[in-house]
Amino acid sequence: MKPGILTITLFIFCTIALAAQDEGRVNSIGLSWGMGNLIRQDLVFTPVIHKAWSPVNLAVSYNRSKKLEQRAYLKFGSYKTSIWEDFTYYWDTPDETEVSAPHQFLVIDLSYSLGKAVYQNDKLKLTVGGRSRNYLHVAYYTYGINWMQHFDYNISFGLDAWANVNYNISEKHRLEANVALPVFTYNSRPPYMGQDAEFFYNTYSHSDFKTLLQYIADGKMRTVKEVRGFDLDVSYYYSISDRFEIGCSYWLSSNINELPRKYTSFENIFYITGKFNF
Amino acid sequence: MKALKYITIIVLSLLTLSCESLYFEKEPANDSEAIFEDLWNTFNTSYANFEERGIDWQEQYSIYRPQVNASTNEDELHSIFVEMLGKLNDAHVKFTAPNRKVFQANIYYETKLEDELFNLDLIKNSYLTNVNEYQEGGLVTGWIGNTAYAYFLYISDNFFYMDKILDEFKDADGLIIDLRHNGGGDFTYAFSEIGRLTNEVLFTHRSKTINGPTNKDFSDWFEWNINPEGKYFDKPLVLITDRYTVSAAERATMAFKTLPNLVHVGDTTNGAQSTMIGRELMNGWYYTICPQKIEWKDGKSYEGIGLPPDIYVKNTPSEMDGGQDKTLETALAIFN
Repeated sequence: MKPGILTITLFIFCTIALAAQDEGRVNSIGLSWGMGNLIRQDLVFTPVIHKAWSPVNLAVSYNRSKKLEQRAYLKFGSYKTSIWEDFTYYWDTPDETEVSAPHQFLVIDLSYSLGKAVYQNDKLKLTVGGRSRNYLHVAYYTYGINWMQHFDYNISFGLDAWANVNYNISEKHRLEANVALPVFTYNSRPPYMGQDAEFFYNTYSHSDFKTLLQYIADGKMRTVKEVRGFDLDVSYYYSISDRFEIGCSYWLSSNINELPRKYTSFENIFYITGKFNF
Repeated sequence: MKALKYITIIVLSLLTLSCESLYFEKEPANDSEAIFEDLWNTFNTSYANFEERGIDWQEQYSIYRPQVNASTNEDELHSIFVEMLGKLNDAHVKFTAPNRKVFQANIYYETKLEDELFNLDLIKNSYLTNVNEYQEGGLVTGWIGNTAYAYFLYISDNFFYMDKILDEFKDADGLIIDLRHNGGGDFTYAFSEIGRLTNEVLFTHRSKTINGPTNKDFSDWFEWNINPEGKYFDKPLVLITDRYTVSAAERATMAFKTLPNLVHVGDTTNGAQSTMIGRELMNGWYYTICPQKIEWKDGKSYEGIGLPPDIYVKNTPSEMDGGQDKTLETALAIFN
């Protein structure tokens, strides 16, 4: 094992061990897998409302409950869709066919919420605060010909108003819900027609990472009217032991973006989750 | 448990339906007339070069719209689109439908007109020595006597070898850059990798792109330059093009033609320099459209015309059959 990896592993282990000695279990790490449904229309690239189901949905979460409530998660989803099934086409002779490719949509969300309990009794706890919501919604629109592909991006860094409700049904059963609404957003999207001179100039380095940074740099602060939506999730957890919980969740994430042309997406995901408390 | 499942499905369905009508823009209808209107309107608002190509798009509407009605079938509509889009004679307009030939709205690419007037194998077999191939033929280099030769099949990361081949050709009398039958790609690869061919910043061309609801709404002009980078390759250069030199290869041609030590030989380029974007129709057909105007350094548009060579020369089938590439020989003669 490399020294760096060993150090990081030891650090994480020590952190968990020290935290475990703390009074009660205040931290938890969760891993979720789910079936998702995406409905998406980006008028920069198509008037078609694309819909797709996908089992490629993963989320990792971290919660900490002490004086302040902290929630962090990283969520990834991948969807493929097209108007019809993949089809063949040819250029010169029918013997030399090629196969079309579907559009692909990738959804990456990284959020960190920080709040304070404003109401608490034996069963119910209500927390309000703010959430740093950051997402990268990427699409590869493919137009019949399998190399005729356009890169679409919707990159956002913003602050949401956030509320969390935790309700203990009984000793072993509990419900948890989160809702978040954007307050302000720094957002980056492609130009009106999907491509223009600046779009190509940003690719001049021929490095995907540098190009992405250029696209981000071209973003602008947007008002709630220009970029709106909400995130809602409702989860049920069953406590297997002091340390482990399993559960299921429903997440609804909406995003409506007016500039340069309207972008609308709704993502519904049903997750099953395992949580480790420490 | 069953009840829960049904409730979930009903709630989700209602949610989805209400989301669609509330938050999404209405999709175009999926019938022949609506599909015609969708395609025609998209060109009407988003195609930038009707004027350059001498096409009255409104006139096309009056010709073709009456041919489409509720009973127009798929084959008939396909034929109408092929005929209407063909008027543009634009290699960047492509029309794709399942299980059919891709229609390319350009007489050269669609009919293979003069396609046989270039043959890389002939050059490799009859002219080149010390042949090197990069990226499975994406770049072919070699020597003809003491003249260096580089053939680029497309414009992409094959240009990353430019620095390497210029080092290899440092003792050559000069370099022939052959862009015949180059189908384009991403012109920024050419622009970023040819810095050794200039010792000063050179303005090559400018472009502006539609950025609003009509094809009169454009961004500001964006100026493109090539910038010196690395050890200057101070040799005579010859560029060869033909009618199949298209798209990003034409943008590269615009850059090469600004070099003071370069002579452009061969045939005029295809005449499709604008960027190409894809669109889809509700019946699962796809097409491409050009939302950009481009002017070369002289302030003129060559969209629909092509960039003319300094020395015009075109191979003939009989010369090709005889193993001769007269265009290449004309290029070689420049160094002697």
